[in-house]
Amino acid sequence: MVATAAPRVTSPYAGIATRGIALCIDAAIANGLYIVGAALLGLIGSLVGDLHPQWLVALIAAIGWSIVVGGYFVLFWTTTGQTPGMRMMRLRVVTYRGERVHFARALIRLGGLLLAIIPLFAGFLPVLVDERRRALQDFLARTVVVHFSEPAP
Amino acid sequence: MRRVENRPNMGDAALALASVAYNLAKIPVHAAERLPGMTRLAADGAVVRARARSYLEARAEEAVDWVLAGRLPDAVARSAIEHQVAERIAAELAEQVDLEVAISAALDSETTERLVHAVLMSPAMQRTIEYVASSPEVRAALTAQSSSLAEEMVSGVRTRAETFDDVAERTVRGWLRRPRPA
Repeated sequence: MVATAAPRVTSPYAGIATRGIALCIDAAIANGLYIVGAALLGLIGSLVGDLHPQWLVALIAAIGWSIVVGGYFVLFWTTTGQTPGMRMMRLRVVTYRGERVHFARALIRLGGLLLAIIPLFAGFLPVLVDERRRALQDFLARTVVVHFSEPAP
Repeated sequence: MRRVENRPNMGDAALALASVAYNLAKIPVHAAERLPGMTRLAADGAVVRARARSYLEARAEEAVDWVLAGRLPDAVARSAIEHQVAERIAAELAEQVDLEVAISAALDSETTERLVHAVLMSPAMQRTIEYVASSPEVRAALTAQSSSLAEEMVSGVRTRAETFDDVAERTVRGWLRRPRPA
């Protein structure tokens, strides 16, 4: 019902290159944060000895990475509607009604983003043919990515 | 021509007569110098001369002050401006002196180099540089320039990306024969 409703968004929708650049910037920032945080924790952990077994270290690292990177996207989508990379490219993610994305919808969008990336970013190809330039995560979370000319308040 | 050269110069002759008269006049003066009481009389004359000089200086000062207080300096300045005196002097100087050569010579001289080095190494200059470098105005200008440069770069990336968005979409839609609805 909501998916078929006419969008209230008046801004033009963001295309694949703009969104790709924003995603690259966000990936760099999120992974940079994770690397710095993990390095600091590792440094502190080295004071009390090495962690064993190795699979446990890998598991903790994977969980930490998921929390940091996932939290980064969910936090920015739900609070300002734009990650730092999207802000740099003057983009914003909103619902079909032009409203802010809530937490549950942001989680769905994050899952959709992972699904879109796994098959060699094939989940982004619909942007090239969809009228509202939606990717897989946008279809799943019922969101659109739009340009904005004014900085977000 | 030779006749002209042999004629006596009456001016030189008059000068010789004046010299003789001057030397003759000095004879009674030298005689008077030896009279008793002449030293004291000369001292009194020196005092009178000093008083007269002081009086004349005071009168001259008053006269200069009176002139400067009036409209004469304004009129002189106005006239100098109207008649472009400064420009004429500058033009005359430029014609008379090869400024380029003079300035080059001054700059090439060791004295100039030594003076510049001394000024640059002076504590006052170091303090000035530190003050200017740490002033909020300079820092604000540098920050504004840096941020405007970064903003300009990001804006260029954004514009190119949006252009590529349209090109990519048109190309793919062209392959699929699905033109973008108007």
